Amino acid sequence: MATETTNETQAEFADVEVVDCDVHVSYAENVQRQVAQRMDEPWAGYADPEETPARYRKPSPGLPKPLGGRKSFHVGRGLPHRQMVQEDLVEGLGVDYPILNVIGLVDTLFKTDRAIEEMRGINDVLVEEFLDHDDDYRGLMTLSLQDPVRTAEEIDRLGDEDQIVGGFVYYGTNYQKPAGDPSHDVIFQALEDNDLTPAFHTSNYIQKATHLRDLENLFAWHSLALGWAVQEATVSLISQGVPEKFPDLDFVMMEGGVGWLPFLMGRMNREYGQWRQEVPYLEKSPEQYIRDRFYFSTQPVEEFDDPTHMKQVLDIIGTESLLFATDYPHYDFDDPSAIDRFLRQFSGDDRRQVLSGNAKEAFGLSV
Amino acid sequence: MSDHVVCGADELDDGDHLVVELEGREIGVFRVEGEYLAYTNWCAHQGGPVCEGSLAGTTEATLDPETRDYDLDWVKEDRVLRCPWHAWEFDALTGDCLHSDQYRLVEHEARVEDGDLVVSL
Repeated sequence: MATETTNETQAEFADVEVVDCDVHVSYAENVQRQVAQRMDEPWAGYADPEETPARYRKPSPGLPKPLGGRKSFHVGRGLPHRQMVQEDLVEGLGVDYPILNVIGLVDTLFKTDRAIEEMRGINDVLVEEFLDHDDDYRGLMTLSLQDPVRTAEEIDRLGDEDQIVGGFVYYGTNYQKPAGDPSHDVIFQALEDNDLTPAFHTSNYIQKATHLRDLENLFAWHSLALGWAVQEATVSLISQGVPEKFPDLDFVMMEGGVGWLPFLMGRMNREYGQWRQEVPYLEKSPEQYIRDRFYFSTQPVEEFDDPTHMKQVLDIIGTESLLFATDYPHYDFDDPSAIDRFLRQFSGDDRRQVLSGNAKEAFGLSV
Repeated sequence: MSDHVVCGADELDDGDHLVVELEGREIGVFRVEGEYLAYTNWCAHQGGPVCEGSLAGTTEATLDPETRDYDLDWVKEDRVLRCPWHAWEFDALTGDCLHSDQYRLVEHEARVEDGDLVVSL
């Protein structure tokens, strides 16, 4: 991160706290090794970079390699991750409270026992190697949907960790049922019992959506993939009445952008009128559930030819539904100023809500 | 306000309905749970001929707060009017739209006088 922009960015956000809802602990080999050290055999060997070559550790969807000039920060910097977060995000971009998650891809693993074992190792690494080292960090524990009962036990195991504020689902992979499937109720129950918030993060490993996977190039696939997974999760949760079943839960949707939200609200409203008898447990319009119970992280914010159109989109969605996120350290991250130029057209209170206030409410942050 | 004799009251059984033209307007008349009702044949959604739809039942959900499971029951048999255009549901006894309190059927007074079903417009 260029140091000359650092002071400028910090000054821009000096008057407001910034919570970054989507900070990835990259699942680089040093982190994988730490996870493997916390796993039992036979699964530890599968996850350990020293014992298993990369192509066998994780199934790959065959994505193109990062393009020139787009190396992720974690590839290029060679620094311990905590130091990178501190230098790049906190000092560089002016983020006061990073909320960390680990994209460990556990639900891309076809061995459920390994997915559960790796989920536990990942969560221990998140707490012991990251959260325990900085009081300003918060974390989302990794959740696997493959074995909901054991995942609920994992939520109970870590429910007392003060800096764990929610559960993180890397959503849209082969080994997952739709987000709202009733088999997941034990997970939602455990989250509700432990005052934790579910967060569904879009999946680059978009194995379930073969019609997207088969698109011709990264431009085409990435245009649709990010919004797809969180739209599917949103629709599934509402269509199964999960917000009614768990009235104390809010739902966070991450890395899908937000420009499609007006469409989805109107579309679901229309389908509700036509198919109400399928979902008689809904007490209000789908749009109202989205407005009342869902939050959406802004990254990757859409870029219209006429930038004023984004303000109009945000007007429709309402700033109360938005959470700021960078997606650090990935190449398609958003600098806080990317969304702030639109937020400055709202009131100061609305701007503060998006940059930090909504996140404090969504995750019950005690900061 | 003008009164119109639509038919003999006993010509409609419970769950029956028909659409008639009164003063150039299409009006649906219904007998639901022993009561007579009349609505304009116009759906508040997109103007469809709502009263030409079928009169059936619908689903109702009860949430068990312990198990978090929904029980679905089939209720209001012969009472729920479903618009033939987009299947919007209305309670023919109250005129209420089942999925939104922003909409309802346009209601007219219906009553039985001397054995006749009379609608006032």
